[in-house]
Amino acid sequence: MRSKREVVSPSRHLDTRLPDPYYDLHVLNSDIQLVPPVASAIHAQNIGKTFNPGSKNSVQALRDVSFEVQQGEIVGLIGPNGAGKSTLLRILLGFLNADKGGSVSILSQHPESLEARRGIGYQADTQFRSPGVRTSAFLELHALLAGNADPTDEVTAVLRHFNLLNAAARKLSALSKGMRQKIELAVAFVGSPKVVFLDEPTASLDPPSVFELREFLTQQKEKGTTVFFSSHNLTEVENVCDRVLFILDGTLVAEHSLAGTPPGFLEESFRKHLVERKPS
Amino acid sequence: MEFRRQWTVAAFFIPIGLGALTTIMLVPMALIQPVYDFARNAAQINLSMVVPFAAALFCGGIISIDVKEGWLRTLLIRPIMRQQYLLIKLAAAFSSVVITIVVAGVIPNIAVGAFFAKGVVRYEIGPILVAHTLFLLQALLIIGLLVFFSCWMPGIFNMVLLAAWYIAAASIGSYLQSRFWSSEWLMLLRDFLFPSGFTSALEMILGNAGTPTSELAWGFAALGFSFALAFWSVTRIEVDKSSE
Repeated sequence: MRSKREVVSPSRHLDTRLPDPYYDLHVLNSDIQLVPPVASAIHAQNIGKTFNPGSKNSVQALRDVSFEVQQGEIVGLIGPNGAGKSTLLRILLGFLNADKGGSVSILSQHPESLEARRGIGYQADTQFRSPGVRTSAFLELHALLAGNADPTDEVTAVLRHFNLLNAAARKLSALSKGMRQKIELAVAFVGSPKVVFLDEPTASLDPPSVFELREFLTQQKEKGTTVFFSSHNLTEVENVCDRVLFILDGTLVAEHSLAGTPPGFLEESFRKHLVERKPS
Repeated sequence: MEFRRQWTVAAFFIPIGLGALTTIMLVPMALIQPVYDFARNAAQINLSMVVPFAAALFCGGIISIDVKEGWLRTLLIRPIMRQQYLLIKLAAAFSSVVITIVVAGVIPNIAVGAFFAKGVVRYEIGPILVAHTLFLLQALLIIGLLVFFSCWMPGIFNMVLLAAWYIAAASIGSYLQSRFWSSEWLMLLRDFLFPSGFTSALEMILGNAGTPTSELAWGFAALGFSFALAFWSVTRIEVDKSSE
């Protein structure tokens, strides 16, 4: 009698049959079913955004943007000022509504669904600026909302990691721009999110903080965290990212894997795309 | 934290200032009135001044400030539904309005009645409770409307709008009531533009003019409508419209 725990594989079942012309195909199919597919962390399809549609001030910020980011990838979004980077990030997060026809999913969920929100971290380029809120209270609130009922330890660890322990008791409004940027970064990683969106993460940071952030992002990648960030800093993107997306005038013009590329590749490529895009 | 964010240093002084103002208004009434009716004076002070001021103060920019400061974005990135966010905001705003009513409406009224009243002081618990319940319902109605406006317009604009609405309700609303009271359509329009179900109900109760069933029904309908508008707006607003 066969043990209940014994599993009969489809291929063993096929072994008992005589010549099966589709044997390989059956085995292949069964193998495909056994390998879990690589899940998509971010999926964007045909995203468009027009501000003030139908008016004289109408601006088409994004045109037909489609891309996919796999789990565990670090992907950079680069483009000049006004290219649509922050608009795209805000649409991906559900903070802005895309024009009709586009679709976004984060961790295979609608970006505003609670399931997606449980796995998202976000550092905004414009900093939270409410007077009277203290750093530790701000981080504790985020940890609580992320589901950590006893957030003190997590908050202390995050503050230590970003060298912010001396700012814990201070009000956010009393901190420098660089410090607040670090706090926004710390907030993005509170609750161990699976997908983190960073909008110009190094914009106000001093060089030591940039190095620390680079190291931190590498650690996050090893943990399997997906990071999607927009930046003007090409060196930073080149150092950290697996892949890069170029956005110009609201259109995704190119996508490059950065594996094995020589130093300076990104700058050269960026220049090329800008030149190609300039009207003759 | 929502409650704490509302109570800025400036916000602390406004109920106290408002309380001083209501005291100044109540003292002459206490000296003149042969009967100092606590419920009636409370209705006069709260409905005309304390409730609209408190609502404007705490709810004028209830949503627009959160969008401007990035607070809405910072909350909604976490697993919180927009409706939950709105309920928390409403609870915090309502608590603040209640505190302001107590500080600027109830305490001065008791104090003036106790120390300045020349005639008989009437503290009847029934009318007092009914009056205060109706103030709070009226406060909720205004809060609902301000939340709706605050989703689409900045706080200062909403305060101006609320002031203009009160002036219009007192002038146009009263004019329509006095001249066209027999026209059902105009009365319906008046009640739609200037919903006064709770205040009319209070007037009827304090004047012993019967049971204000239709007035209360109209008040609750307006309250439901204002909350429906508020919830609908919060689910539609764009959370982060700041430019790059």
